[in-house]
Amino acid sequence: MQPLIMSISLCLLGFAVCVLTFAAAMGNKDEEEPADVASPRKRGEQFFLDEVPPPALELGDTADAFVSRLRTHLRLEQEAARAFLDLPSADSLHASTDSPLWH
Amino acid sequence: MLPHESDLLAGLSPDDASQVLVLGGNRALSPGEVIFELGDEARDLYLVKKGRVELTLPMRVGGTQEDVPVEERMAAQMLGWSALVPPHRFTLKATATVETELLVLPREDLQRFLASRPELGLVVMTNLAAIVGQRFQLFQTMWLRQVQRAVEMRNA
Repeated sequence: MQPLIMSISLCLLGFAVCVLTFAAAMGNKDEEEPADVASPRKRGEQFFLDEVPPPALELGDTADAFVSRLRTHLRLEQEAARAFLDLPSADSLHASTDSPLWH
Repeated sequence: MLPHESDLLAGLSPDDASQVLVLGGNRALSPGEVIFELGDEARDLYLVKKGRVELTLPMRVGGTQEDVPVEERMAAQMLGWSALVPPHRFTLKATATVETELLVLPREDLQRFLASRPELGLVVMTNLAAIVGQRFQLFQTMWLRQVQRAVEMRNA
């Protein structure tokens, strides 16, 4: 009789553990649901961008005009970099230019 | 300007410089003609005999790709040092901007000659290190200036 009672007790204990574990798992899922809305999986295609959007041109700026300003910018930056290399200092490293991209 | 006064052959005697020059062949280019494209296999070095060569990188501007100049090479200056630096691929595009004449030096011929004359090889490779180093320092400085600008814009 005693072994039978022990077996039944162990079965009930095992069942109780299973129920508690299942309940806890379901409870956690419910708690995670709001955070999951912002997860990459929910955001779908936004996680991987096929193409980086091109830089925005200023209003009334044509691509040719922008490239022209970019060329000027690079030339001025190279001149500033060469001036730094001729006489290196913290001030000459970050000396400003009249670059059309910054003004 | 004499051959041994070029950036690649500086420090060589006129006779030694001439021995290097005979390894190459001449190439004439019209304005706008492309010498090499970014990504091409680099088999040759080039010495500008006359004219101008623009080195450019591709940049996307307003949805189109533009070649933006990053450096210019003129008479007595070399270009194409990727031919001597693995993986031997050009990392810029080179275009003649005016009537230009180049001396084309095949890498294998140049290396063979310099190996047979190590004292010349040391001079030429030292010159090459200076040319590569100048490019590196210039771009490092430009990069740091842009990063500084980005920091200022972020804190503005």
